[in-house]
Amino acid sequence: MSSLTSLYLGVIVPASTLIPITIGIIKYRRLASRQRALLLYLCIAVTVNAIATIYSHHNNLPLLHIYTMLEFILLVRYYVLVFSGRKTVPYLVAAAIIFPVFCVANFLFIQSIYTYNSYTRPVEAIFLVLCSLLYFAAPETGEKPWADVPDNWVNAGILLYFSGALAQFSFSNVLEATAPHSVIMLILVLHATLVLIMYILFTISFYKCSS
Amino acid sequence: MQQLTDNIYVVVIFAMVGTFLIVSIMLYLHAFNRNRLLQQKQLLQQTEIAHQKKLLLAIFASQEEERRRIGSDLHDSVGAALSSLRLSISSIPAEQAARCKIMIDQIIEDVRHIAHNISPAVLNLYGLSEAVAELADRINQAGRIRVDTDNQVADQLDQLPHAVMLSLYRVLEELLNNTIRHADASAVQIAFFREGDRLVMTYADNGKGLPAEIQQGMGLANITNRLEVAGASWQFAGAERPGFFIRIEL
Repeated sequence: MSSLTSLYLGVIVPASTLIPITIGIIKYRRLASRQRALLLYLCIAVTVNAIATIYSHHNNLPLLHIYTMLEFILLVRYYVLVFSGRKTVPYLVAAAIIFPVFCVANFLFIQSIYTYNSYTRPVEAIFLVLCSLLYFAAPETGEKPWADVPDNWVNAGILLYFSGALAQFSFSNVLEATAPHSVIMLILVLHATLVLIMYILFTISFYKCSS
Repeated sequence: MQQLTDNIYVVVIFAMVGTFLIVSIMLYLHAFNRNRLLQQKQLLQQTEIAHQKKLLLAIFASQEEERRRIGSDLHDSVGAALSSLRLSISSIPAEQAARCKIMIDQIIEDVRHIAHNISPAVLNLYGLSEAVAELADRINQAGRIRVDTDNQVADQLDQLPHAVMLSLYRVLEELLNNTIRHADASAVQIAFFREGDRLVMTYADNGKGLPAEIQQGMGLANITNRLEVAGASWQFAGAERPGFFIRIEL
């Protein structure tokens, strides 16, 4: 792995989580409850990234199994707040209970906790893509241009990242077993770029919060 | 097998890049459509507001026309009839005639007063500055409230379009009416001056301010409708100053 790729994957992208966190903390008073839920998700993400970096010389995939559960619960909490008062909320709450059970069942009975969770992560991605599509499908009631609505940026980030990374999530184990190192690195760089784009879009969302 | 696994790498990379591009385009189109819909909605709202303004203007114009006609009829027909009646009662006994003349004089005065209120002839003849001064004089003569006017822009006021002058005059009438009826005030100050390229009118009384029932009442709605039609902006003072205060900019 070249030093530049290593720097990008190991330092730049994980550290980029600090950008939306910093803006979120600066604008904390102006953030709506759903943006605060997103900030909590980012704080958990940066913590897990830091632990993963510390344990990068060992197999740190168990951390990914735990992180997938936390990420799902925290992002579904964001959608519960976004769709507050709508019929969707009970389904989201049910999903937030069922999915962690599925994750635990997966690493206990289906996939080893030391392999990539290629069954749960695509399910999570599909569910969150559906949530963001549901958000965009809702009729706009506000009087603001698209770019001035903070939630549009958040959902754009979620939609771009989880739909873009869905193929990687699904085929990760196949690639790990069969692909040459250079191809795996290329896919990891693509994935990291999607993460970076999502964090930048979250940063814009926090920046746009004015009430 | 080698061919198959090679294909899987390509498919994964294509799927990642392709999905990203498709979703990006979808988001761009979504944002574009939402913004276009918003623009259309705003345009529709603006058209509706302009239409409502036109309607209000038409209502006010027809109201004024009707007032002018009634005022003119009162002055010309009823006033003239009363004057000739006054002359013709000279033939009846002197004591009775004197009593009738006093009553007729009172009726003539009342008719003149009503005719003047319905359509302010002085506004049509001499312009807004004179009409405001005359309005203030009339209230001062009644002696209940002292009205002071400070007009630094008399010439510019008289050059305003007639509809705007009439709106401002009616607004002033309504404001004075509110002060007399609700404010328990003893003094009113009306000032006209220039600020940059804008004409400013301020109205202040030393009464008890703007009670909630007046804030939602027809009087205030009339004032704001008139000002809107005249293309003026306005601002009421908050609780920080005593009495009632409004600043109107043209």
